[in-house]
Amino acid sequence: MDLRHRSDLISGVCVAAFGVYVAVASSRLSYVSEHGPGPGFMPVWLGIGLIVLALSLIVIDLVRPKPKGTSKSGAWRVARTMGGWLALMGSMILLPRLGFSLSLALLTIFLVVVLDRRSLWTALSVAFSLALGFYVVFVLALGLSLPSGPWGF
Amino acid sequence: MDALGSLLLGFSVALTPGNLFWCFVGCFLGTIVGVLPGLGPPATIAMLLPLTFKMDHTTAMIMLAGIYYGAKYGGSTTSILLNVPGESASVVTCLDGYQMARQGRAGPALGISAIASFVAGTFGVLGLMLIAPPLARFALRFAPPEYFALMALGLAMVVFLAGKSMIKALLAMLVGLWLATVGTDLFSAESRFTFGRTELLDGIDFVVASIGIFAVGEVLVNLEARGGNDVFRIPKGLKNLLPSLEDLRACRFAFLNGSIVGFFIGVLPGAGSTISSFISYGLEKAFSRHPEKFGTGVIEGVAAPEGANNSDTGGSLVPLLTLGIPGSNTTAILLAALILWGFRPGPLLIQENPSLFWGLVASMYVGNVMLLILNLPLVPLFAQILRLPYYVLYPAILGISIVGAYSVSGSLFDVWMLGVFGLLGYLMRKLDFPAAPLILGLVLGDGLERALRQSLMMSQGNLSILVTRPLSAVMLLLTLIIVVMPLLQKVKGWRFKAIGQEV
Repeated sequence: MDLRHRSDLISGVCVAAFGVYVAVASSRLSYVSEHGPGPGFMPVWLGIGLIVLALSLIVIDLVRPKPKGTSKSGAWRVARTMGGWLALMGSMILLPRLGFSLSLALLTIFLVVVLDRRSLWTALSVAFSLALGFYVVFVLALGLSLPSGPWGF
Repeated sequence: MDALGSLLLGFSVALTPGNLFWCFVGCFLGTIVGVLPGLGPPATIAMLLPLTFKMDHTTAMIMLAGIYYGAKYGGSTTSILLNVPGESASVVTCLDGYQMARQGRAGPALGISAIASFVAGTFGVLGLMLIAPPLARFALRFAPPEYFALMALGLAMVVFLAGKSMIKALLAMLVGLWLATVGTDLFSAESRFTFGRTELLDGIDFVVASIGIFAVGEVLVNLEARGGNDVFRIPKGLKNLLPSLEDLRACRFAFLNGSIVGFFIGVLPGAGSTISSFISYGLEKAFSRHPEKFGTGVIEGVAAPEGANNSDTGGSLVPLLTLGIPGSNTTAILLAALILWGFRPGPLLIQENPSLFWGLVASMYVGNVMLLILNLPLVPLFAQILRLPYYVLYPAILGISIVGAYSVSGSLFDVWMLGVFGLLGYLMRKLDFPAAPLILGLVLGDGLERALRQSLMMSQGNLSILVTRPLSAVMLLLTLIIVVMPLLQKVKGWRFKAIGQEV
């Protein structure tokens, strides 16, 4: 079975598993309470709905003929995206330690240098301009309180 | 005093130099607040409230209301340009507005948004002026069964938000409904699906989810390929940066649809402008001659929800001013302001304080004109943002998204949730799951569950309460028609196909 053409099957299985989790976890909450439906009432039905619809998606995918040819999306493209996402999550984790400005600057440098293969000077100038712009607009002009590092920004 | 005489009194109040100035200040601040995610109208009004204590109360109300409806004008800007909803009601604008921007039509999208906001905003004020008291009394007839039916009608809009697969749209909607159940159950105070995290006790914020799924998800999709120097095409010349006559003609029904839907849903306390924008988008698509093009950059898909969320402002002031019932966070703060100033919002407010009520109504006419004049010239300026090379634009979008998520409650947990929703948005795109139904479910889930449980408590578990009350029965029938129609069309299609094969 070529899994590249089975995205509906894979997503259907994942959502069905999620539906099972929702239904099981909801069954631990009370379905009815003294005054009417309990906290488990709605989630139980949502879990059942997720399972039924996910199974329908799986069945349709199994019955439907698959297109021939190769998938356009290469693994390296997904890897680029995952690299960008991990960098984003990394900058979010660094927020309380380094502050918003420096975390954003580091994220920008990673995106420009590593993913976009631009020069370090370009990355530094973009990172500095963005960090400064955000600080001026959101902190100085709008008075928003953003996470700050040991340097106060 | 007849309506015309009252309106003249209102204009005599609103057109004084001081009130004109503060109306402009409110509209200007509102536009900025709407454009930049992070500081919503409730927070801005709350921050400015102490400054108004020494002002004339009518002037202060004119300014604060200006912030409220001004933010609705500005909210579409980042939705169209960056796929970042500036405020919750602008999520629907992302669907076609951002696609228009990708096709080099950011200017017309921004322009039509301002024009629709003006037309519908003015309609909302007209409604507030002419039918406020009877409509407010009608809105009070909405009990939990009617609210449940309204929410169900809103959810039926999933039919119009589905892309290629209805099953995937329904799955996305169910996931959204489940996300709405995360947090503390209001009836029993039990926590649900919080995984032991105290940050989840308040539930998942809709703004964090929508910015993550739309904006961060979009950036992640675009990171897959190393692009050229410009992401978007921006046509030159002012003429190409504003909507054409053809665009305006195409949006005739959208203006009307947005105005009516937005106003009437705005009148219902707690319904919210996000629902009105989803419903007006669904209606626009349902009655369109080219429904298949929605979601690919159709100008009516921008005009209808933008109109609805502006007309909603006039509607939401109806229960506030005539019954003293706030329908949203912003109107709750406006109510607090009125009470702090010594007014008694309720049925007697108009009679006891005609200059406040009519002055406010007249200032909203003036404010809408100011906002149109303020926003249209800014369209070419805003559109230039898209000239930025993508290696500047994407970090900027991620930065704005982080600021938007963090400022919801000043919690880093929300920022991490943003990252998680960003990944979810990316995966949904890759797997062809539409994102809008998930947001629809998340927005309506809480209200739907509350209304259903309250209804069943009222009837002691008897579901017939939902169909025995005329208003809810009509709305549920409409819901059924909306859901069943596409199925019937599909069956009809299969029959024609089968007959064709037999022949």
